[in-house]
Amino acid sequence: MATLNIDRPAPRTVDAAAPVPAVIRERRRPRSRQFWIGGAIVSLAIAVALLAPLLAPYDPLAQSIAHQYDGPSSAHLLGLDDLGRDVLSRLLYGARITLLTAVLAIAIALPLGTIIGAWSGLLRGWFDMVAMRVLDVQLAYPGMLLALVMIVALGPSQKSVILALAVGYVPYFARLVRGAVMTEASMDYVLAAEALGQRRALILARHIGPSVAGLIAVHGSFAVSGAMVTEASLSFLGLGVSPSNPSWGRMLSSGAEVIYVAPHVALVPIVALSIVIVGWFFLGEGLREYLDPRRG
Amino acid sequence: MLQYAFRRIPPVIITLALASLFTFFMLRIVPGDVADVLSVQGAVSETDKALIRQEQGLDRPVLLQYTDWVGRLVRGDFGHSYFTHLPVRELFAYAFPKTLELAATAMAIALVVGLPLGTLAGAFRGSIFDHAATVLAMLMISVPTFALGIIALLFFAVRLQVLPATGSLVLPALALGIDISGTLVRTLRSDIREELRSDYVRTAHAKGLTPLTVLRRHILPNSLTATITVMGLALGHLLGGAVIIETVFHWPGIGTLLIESIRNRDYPVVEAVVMVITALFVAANLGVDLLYGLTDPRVRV
Repeated sequence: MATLNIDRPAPRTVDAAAPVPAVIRERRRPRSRQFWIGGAIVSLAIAVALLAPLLAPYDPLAQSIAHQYDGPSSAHLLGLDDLGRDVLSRLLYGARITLLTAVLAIAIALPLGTIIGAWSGLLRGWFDMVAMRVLDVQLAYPGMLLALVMIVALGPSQKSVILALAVGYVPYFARLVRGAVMTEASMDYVLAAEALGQRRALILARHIGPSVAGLIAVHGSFAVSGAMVTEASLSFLGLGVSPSNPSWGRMLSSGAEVIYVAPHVALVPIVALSIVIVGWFFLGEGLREYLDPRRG
Repeated sequence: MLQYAFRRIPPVIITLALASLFTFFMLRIVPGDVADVLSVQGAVSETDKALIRQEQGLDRPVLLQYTDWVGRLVRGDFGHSYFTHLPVRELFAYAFPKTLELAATAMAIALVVGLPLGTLAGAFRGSIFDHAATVLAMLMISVPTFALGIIALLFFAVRLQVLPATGSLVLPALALGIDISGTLVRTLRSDIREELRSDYVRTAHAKGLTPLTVLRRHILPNSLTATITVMGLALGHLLGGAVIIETVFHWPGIGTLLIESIRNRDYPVVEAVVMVITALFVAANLGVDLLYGLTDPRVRV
């Protein structure tokens, strides 16, 4: 009986947030245009990254100084860069580094943050106190600054960028999941499950889990889009992957130096970056709209 | 109100203390101290290195170095640059007004673009204008600022040649302003939509007020909180030096100072700049929280 608190909110007669019966769920709006646009862009980008060696017409590192700055032509669809390298091939290979870095960083941050957040939200107590204070500090530290300090300390490399981004995104997910778990845990259906004698871990897995999963999917998408921006910014500043690697941020920074001579060198990676970043963002928005039609 | 402000002070101090620990020790584990950095640039013998370390206090226990550093920071002594030997405070006094100028202009642009767009999109929900504003806002948010900056550079400086690529305030402020106004449009739009559904708005309409009066006298003042949140948080970020944008346009603000000192491994400057930026950021967030109480009486702070 000790698990039942008296100060719990009185049961409501109509609960808007109670699980939707399957019949009603069937009639939900179809996935939005945003979802399809975002999904298409993201899948295309991933396909390009995976198939880069098959798709690229040239070696992304091969230089021909005689043709440096050449604009787009039938032989080189997107032209040549400052060292006479094929921009299209570099773009295709660059997708690998740029996407891999951002996705890996989030793939590390998401489960870590989720575990910390779920634990905090469900158990509360001292763990919650300590975790939230530490995360507060991290949130008070502007994101870009955290990444910069970590990269200075670890030395610029793809590994440090991934690590810096991952560390930066852990509190983001932890807070999100903690809030959602706490909201869900105060719902009547959870109380009902508890009254039926179910264990807390089971309640979390069976009842709270599914509603939090959607939220994580939405924000995972947003986070990849944000991580791509930071990765590109760091590469642009020369603090990302090594210079020979054709990451999009790197291409951008070398393109920006020759912007008056050959604007296409900077424009190509900008357009690619923007499209893919918007793609992840749209995917997140579309998912959110699908999961929660009230907040369109 | 005052009580709340006082209650918020201890957490702020704890935050800053932990941030200073993190900054200091992260930058101390970097291989290569000032002696190594200088010896790369010119021939410095081992005895000279030892002398430099002694002079900079680098031979002392790390914990002591930390407490010394914090003690000096608190007294307003930010140390000297390894390279120019100028006091960091002077570098700051030069860079900060530049960043402030950029931030203020960007905020002004954001308000001019974002306020009307967000208000109209919220008031005329479902209209073509609403859809256009929504898509536009999403693009403004998701396209990275530096991409906007470089596109603006290409268009105005390279193609039209109406603005200089560097030294001009307009282009970097425009790129930053557009980014912020995207967030502002989204927040205002959903906030106004929310308000439109509320009972007091129905009452106001029922009293026979014109829609414009309802919007101006009732809805907009209530949406002030949303605007303040967006702008306050944006200010925190902007004061921290819009690192990338300042670098793209060679704007000599705090962001450029930070990146240059990182490249030079000028650690005293990096440490000081990071701490000041963090303090400004925390202060901006606190300011937003306190302003809530003034704009929205329902929030008891």
